[in-house]
Amino acid sequence: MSSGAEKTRTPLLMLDHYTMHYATKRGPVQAVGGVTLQLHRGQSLGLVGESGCGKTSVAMSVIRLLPENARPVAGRILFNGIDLLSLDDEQMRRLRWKSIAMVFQAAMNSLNPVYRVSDQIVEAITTHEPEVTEDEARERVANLFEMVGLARDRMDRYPHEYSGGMKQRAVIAMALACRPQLVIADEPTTALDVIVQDRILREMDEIRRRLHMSMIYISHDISVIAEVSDVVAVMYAGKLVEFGSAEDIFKRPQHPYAVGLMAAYPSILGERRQLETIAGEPPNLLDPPPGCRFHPRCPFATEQCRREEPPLTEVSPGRQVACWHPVEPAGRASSSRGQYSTRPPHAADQA
Amino acid sequence: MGRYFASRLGQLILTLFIYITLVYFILQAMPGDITQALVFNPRIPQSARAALQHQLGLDAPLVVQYFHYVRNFFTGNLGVSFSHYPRPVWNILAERIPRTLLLFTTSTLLSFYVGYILGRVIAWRRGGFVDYGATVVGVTFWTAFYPLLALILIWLFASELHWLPLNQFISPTLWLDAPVTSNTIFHYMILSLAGAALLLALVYALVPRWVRRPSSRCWVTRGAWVVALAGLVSGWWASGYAALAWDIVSHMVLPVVTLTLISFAGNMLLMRDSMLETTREDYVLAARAKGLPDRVVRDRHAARTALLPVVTSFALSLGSVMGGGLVTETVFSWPGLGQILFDAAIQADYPLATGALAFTGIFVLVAHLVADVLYAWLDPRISVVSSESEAST
Repeated sequence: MSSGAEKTRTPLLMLDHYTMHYATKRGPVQAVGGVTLQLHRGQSLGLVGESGCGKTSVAMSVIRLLPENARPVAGRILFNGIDLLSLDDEQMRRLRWKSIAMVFQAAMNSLNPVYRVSDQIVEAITTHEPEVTEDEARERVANLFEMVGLARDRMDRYPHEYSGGMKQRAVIAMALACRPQLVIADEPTTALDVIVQDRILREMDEIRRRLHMSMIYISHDISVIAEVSDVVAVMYAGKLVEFGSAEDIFKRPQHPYAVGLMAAYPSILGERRQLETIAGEPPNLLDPPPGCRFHPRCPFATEQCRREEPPLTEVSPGRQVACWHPVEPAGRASSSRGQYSTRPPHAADQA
Repeated sequence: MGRYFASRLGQLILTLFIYITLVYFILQAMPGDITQALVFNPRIPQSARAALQHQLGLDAPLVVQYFHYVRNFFTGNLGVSFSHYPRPVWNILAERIPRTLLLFTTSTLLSFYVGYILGRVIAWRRGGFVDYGATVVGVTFWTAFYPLLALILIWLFASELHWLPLNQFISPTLWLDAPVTSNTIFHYMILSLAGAALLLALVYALVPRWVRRPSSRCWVTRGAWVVALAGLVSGWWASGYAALAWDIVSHMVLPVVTLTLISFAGNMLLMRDSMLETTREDYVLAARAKGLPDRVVRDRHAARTALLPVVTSFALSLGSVMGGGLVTETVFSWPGLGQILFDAAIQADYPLATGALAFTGIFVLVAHLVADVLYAWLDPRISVVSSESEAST
C-alpha cells in the first residue's frame, strides 16, 4: 500500500503542524499540538491514544465540526492540496459527505429517531447531487444496504426498529452514500459486542479496498486499529508521538508511550502474560508539562526530556518518532516491556 | 388502532363520569339556590318559593337529583336554565361554545406558533441579541398582570387610537338592518375556516406520499396555503356579507393579540430548552456532517425532534382554552362560555353552570386524545399502529 510511487504523489490529506486550542474560562486547553501527518489515497490510518489525547479533535478538525470554543491556532489541513481551514462555511458544507464522510462515535445515536433510515440517506445524496432523482437515490440506498450486509427492505424502517449492529451498518451505508474520498470512523464499533464488532470492521475494510477510499480509524482500542490500518499514528496529550506502518508500530514500538500502550493490551495469539499499565495520568492540557509531554510518566525520562520538546523525526523510511530516547528497535518487545514495568515512573529523577 | 381508540374512549367516558359527579356536587355545595333571590322580596310568600323549588325539582333529595341529572346528561338532555328560563341549557351552550372555541383556539395556535418559531431561532443563535430580546420581552408579558395588560391594550388601540373596535362581539349599529343574525354569519365563518383547515390538513397528510422531492413539497404546501386563504377571502367577498364577517373578525383581534402576548413566552422558552437539548444530540451533528444547509439541520433535524415536548404542552393549553376564558371574556365583554359560566355560578343556575363545566371537561378530554394521536403521529417510536401489527404477525 505504501509503495514509493504512491508517496511521491500529493497526499489526500495532510496535517501540517496543526495546532488547536479550546478556549475555556480557565485558559486555552491545548488539545492538538503541532500534529503533522499524511494520508495517501486508498490508505487507512489508525489514530490511537487514551481518551482525551486529541484523536477526536483531529478528526473533527478535518471535517470542521469542532465546538464553538475551538480555535485552530497554527498549521494547515490540506485535503487534495486545499487548505480546509481557509474555506468559508458554504465551501466546507459542500465538501462534507461528498468528499469527507464520517462514521460517528456512538453511531447508534447519529440516526434521527423520527425519520426513516432511507430518508436520512437519500437526504444526503440529494443535497450533494441535486441532479439525482429520488428514485435513483433510493436505488442507491438499497445497493448500499446490500453492500453493508443489510436487507434492502429494511431501509424504510425507523432507527428504533434496528438492532445495534444494524444501526451501525446503516450508519456506514450512510457514510458511503456520496462515494467520499475519505471516511473518518470515530470509535465506529465501540458500542457493539466483540463478534459483531469484528465482523463489521472486516466488512468496512473490505469495502474500503474495493472502493479505493481512504479511511481514518479512531480508537482507544489498539486491537481494532491493528485489524484495519495500514499506517498508525499514536497520540499522547495532543501530540503525535509515533507514526509508522501498522506492523512496525505494533511489533516494534519505539516511543515509550507506544510501548506502554501495546503492553496494556492482551494478545490472543501471544503468550499469556500479566497486562501492564502505564502509571500516572495524562497531563492537564490547560498547563501541559514543559519539554516532552510524556516525561512525568516516562521511565526513561532525562533532564533533556523535561526541558526540550522532542521533534518528530524520521528514524527509518516512513517511520517517525518524537522521543529523545526511543526504545531500540533491535531490542525485543518483551525485554522493553520488562524494563518498562520494573522501573517506576520518575525513576530517572531518583537516579 | 381500533382497539386502542376503543380503550381510550372507554377511559374518556369513565373520566367524564367522575368529572360530572365532582362538578355536580361542588356546585351543589354552594349555599342557597336560585329561589333565594326571591326571599329578599318580602312581598313573595314562603309558599311561592316552595312551589318554585318543587317546580324546579330542588326539593328532592340531592342524591335523587344527582341521578336524574346523570341520566339526563348521558341521554343528551342538559335541562333548562333557571336564570334564562325556559331556555334549554343546550341552546345557550350551542350559541356560546363556538365563540369561545374560535377565540381561544386562534390565540392558542398563534401563541404556539410564535413560541415555536421564536424558540427555534433563539436556541439556534443562543446568547445573541435576539435571544436576550425575545426572552426579556416574552417573560415581561408572561409575568404581566393579565387584566391590567388587557385594559392597557384596550385603552391604547380601541379608545385612544381607534384602530380596533371597543370590546363586545359585534358592533350593534352595523347589524341593525342586516338581513341575517350575527350567529348565522359566525357559524358560516367557523364552517369556512374548518373547510380551509381541512384542506390544509389533507394537503399536509398527502404531500409526503405524493410528492417525493422536499423542495417541491415546500411549494405544494405553500400553494395550499395561498389557495385556502384566497378561497376564504373570495368566498366571503362573493357572499356579500364580507363587511359583517369582518366586523366579527375585528372584534376578535384585540383579545387574540392579548392572549397571545401573555402566553407565547411559555411555548418559546419550552421550545428553546427542548431545542438546546436536541442540538447536542449526535444526529444533529451527523446532519451537519452530511453537509446539509444550516437551515435544514435546524428545521428538519433539531427543531422537529424538539417539537415533541412542546406538543404536550400545547395540548394541555388547548384544554384550558375553555376553562381559562373567564377573565378574558369578562374584560373584553366577549359573550362566550366563560361569561355564561360566571353568570350562572353567581345566580346558582345549576343546570347551566354544570352544563358549561361539563363541556369544558369534554373539551379537555378530547384535547388530550388529540394530543396522544398527534404525538404518535410525530414520533414513530410511540406508534400505536406498529405495536398492533407486530403483535399480529
